Amino acid sequence: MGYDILINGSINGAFYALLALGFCLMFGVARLVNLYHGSYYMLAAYFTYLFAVLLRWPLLLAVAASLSGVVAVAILVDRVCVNRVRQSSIAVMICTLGLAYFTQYLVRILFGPRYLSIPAFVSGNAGILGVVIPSTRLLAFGVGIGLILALWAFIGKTRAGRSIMAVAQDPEAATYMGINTAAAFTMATGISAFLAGVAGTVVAPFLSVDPGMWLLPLIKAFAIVILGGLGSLWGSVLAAFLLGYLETGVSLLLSTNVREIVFLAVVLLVLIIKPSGLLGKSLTA
Amino acid sequence: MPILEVGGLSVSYGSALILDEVSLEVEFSQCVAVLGPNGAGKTTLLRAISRMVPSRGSIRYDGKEITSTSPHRLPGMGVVHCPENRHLFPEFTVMENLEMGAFTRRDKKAMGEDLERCFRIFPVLAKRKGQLAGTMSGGEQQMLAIARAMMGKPRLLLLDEPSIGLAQVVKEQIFQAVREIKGLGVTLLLVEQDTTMALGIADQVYILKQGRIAASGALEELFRDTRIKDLYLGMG
Repeated sequence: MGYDILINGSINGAFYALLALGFCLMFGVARLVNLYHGSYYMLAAYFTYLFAVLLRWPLLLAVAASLSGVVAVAILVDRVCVNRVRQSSIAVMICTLGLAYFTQYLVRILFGPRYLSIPAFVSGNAGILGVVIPSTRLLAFGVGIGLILALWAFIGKTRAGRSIMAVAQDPEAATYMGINTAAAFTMATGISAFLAGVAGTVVAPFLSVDPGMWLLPLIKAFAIVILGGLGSLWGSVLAAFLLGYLETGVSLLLSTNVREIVFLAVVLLVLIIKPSGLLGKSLTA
Repeated sequence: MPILEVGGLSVSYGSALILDEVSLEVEFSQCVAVLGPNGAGKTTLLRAISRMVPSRGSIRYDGKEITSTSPHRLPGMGVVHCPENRHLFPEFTVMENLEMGAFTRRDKKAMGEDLERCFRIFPVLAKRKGQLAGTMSGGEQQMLAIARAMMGKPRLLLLDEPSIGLAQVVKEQIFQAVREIKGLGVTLLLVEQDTTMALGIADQVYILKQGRIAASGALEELFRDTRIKDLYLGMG
């Protein structure tokens, strides 16, 4: 039972981290609450369905095309919508939420309301510490951890990564350093969509794909980012794994019906004790 | 030829005219000080030159019009702005802030030498390399801001109120450093409220009042004019 929680919790945690990191990045860099974030996840799954199932492309190509498509959609949404209303955070939220529902109904019209399934890279099961888990979930975990580490290296070590972090702290100062803040926003948007898209393509094989699948992950990503501390990337990772273990534990020990409630209760509790979140700093700066 | 020529520069925020037809020239490797009371438009002048606020009129750097240049292109051209309120990266360490200062540069070796030089000018920064910028004292933050700007290898350094809010002894340290930077051949456009401090460095002085140039000239000329001395330099 302990190993079950550890292993399945880690897998879920890596998945939530993929979702939350991009959301957190956008908030950190651009102070944007992007409610379209869950839609990247959904679109990646539908794109994969389109390319791999309907068009019968090889899976790897289909996934690559899906991720490119999601990044393209994200940049398009930023250009035609978010960028124009960036000054008002309320307008950004309304606008991105509206687009998310628009996308849901568009997908529903194009693909129908039914549950779809998409092919997985691997099949069969694997056993770790006596816990039997499907290989797809193990792959999702590996990809998730790999991308978290890659993001960490990118943010910390590359010029582009440093410029994003500089813009997150002070866009005006970043400009004085010679950083193109608009390019940094676009880069962050692309990375954010890419991470959520990966979550959509690697997790979709063991979940069902449907037009409403964006909402719950969005709420969880939002809650994770608030729990971790708005703008703190590593706070988000911490909170994502916390959610992973908590949900898995609650599902196994109590019931799957209460896992969301338990997590949101924990978020609420933490915020009462420490309003800036686990690793959050005050938001005055 | 002056390294910087500003001609008929005007800036408005809404209906308020902040700068009204300001013209000034900065000769290569000189220090030009813009003095004047709070709200005279000194900071806006520097922000207009570094293209952070839209303006009318002409700004020529190195003989080239830069009014349509994006602000992030200027550091690479040698125009570095050390802004009011420092604008450090609070969650970066001292070292990381200095590295950001050199963001547009690729000459690793010269960067290392410039870093050594910054630590020579501001020894305290060498001791605080790993400290987060946001946790330093005001004086140290100002030193870091100037050092970070110097890491951009400026030919023209726009220095906005480097002494603001600092104790006298720290102010003197800062101005000693500014003097050293001038000695390195960096052209300086300095905005200051502390007239006495600025006059110790400046070759040429412009006095800005309510968005207009009220007086200008070489330091000695302005000192000869007792009216200006009394009215604007506050050293009657």
